[in-house]
Amino acid sequence: MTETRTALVTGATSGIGRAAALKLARDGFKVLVHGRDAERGAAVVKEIEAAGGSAEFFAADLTDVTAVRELAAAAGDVDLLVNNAGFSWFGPTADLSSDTYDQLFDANVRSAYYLTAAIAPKMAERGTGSIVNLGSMAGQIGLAGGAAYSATKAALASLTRSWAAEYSPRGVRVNTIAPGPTYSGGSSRERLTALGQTTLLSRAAEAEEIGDVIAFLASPAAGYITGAVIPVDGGRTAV
Amino acid sequence: MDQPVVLITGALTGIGRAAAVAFAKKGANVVVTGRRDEAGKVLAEELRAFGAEAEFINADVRQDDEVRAMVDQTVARFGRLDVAVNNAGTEGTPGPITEQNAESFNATFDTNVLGVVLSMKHQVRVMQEQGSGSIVNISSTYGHEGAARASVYVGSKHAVEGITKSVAQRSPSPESGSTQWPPAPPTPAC
Repeated sequence: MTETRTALVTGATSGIGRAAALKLARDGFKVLVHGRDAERGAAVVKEIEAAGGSAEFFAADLTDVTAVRELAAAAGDVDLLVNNAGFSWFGPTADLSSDTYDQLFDANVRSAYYLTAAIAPKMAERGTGSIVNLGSMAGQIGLAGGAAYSATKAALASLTRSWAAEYSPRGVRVNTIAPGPTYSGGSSRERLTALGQTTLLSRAAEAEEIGDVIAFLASPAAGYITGAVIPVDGGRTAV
Repeated sequence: MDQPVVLITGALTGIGRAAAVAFAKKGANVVVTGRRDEAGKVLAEELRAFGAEAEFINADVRQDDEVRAMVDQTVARFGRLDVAVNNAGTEGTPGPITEQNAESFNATFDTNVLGVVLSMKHQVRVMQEQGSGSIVNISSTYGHEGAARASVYVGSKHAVEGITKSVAQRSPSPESGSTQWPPAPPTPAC
């Protein structure tokens, strides 16, 4: 009698999003794989189907708010929304162009905001649902060169608390994961390895180690967790 | 290692008991501790019914010798210690600060704080030797916020969180030749 649950994972064609999509599919979700590149999307869908899962690709540029709303409409009723899409920019504060600044906040914050705005009320109407946002340890600590990126990630942690307050009384759990350095294709492997050395576990994470926690937060085992910002950072922010 | 060896303190009721059942259902080797022999033996039987290997050890987490024996007996029985859940705790005597005294303070801190310190002391000793292990201390929302009429309990749970973060830090290693204390600062960009 188990009904198939549907998960929309943004930025699911690579890195953490892809790892989460694969894991959620193994856990029985039908996964709506969002990305910009149809070829990479098809590859993830194929990988999920080859493992016996169910998936569908949706293309959208989430820096465009109209495209965000269209994606939400196309996705229909989803039980789990993973706001993972985003990108990072590192460099001196004085070197960040206002265009890149806008793109960072549009891709990392506004896309999650308007996807949630479109999807969370429908979850609340049904009395059930789960939203997982991808923050970062950068949202909690000072990283020279990461001012704007870190601010976008701190914004997601703040949105999570507000959305939990707004939607959890109607059955929708909202949480953020704050990963540490993760081999996800976003930064060079050397840089991530170096940053990994500053964690208590002296290493960076594999994308699967973040995807597994996303799947846990989406599962009934996490039924009492909402409004939380969960560090998955090798202990970097604990000390 | 086929199944992890899990040690849970204060396992006879509540969260500790629920954790023991959850681990047993996954087939772990489970050692449950507490201070009531009869209830402990009944629980161990119950855990074995899930197909797990389970033992009860009577131990008072406030006593160094008993905690040492608890950890050493676990290793003697199962050969190692992979997971420790330090759950034993007490609510103490709730009430306004004007009614607290050395006795109410000690009763709370001895179990909630000293108990965690002694437990980790002996667990870390074994886990460092193994080169692996995971310790889960049970704190509370009161470990990071205040609460009226619960000052002593709140203080004890704040202590648990501070101790946890501190033990998680790398210890300076005499062999490494370079101290890791304090940890290296982050690289400027990732």
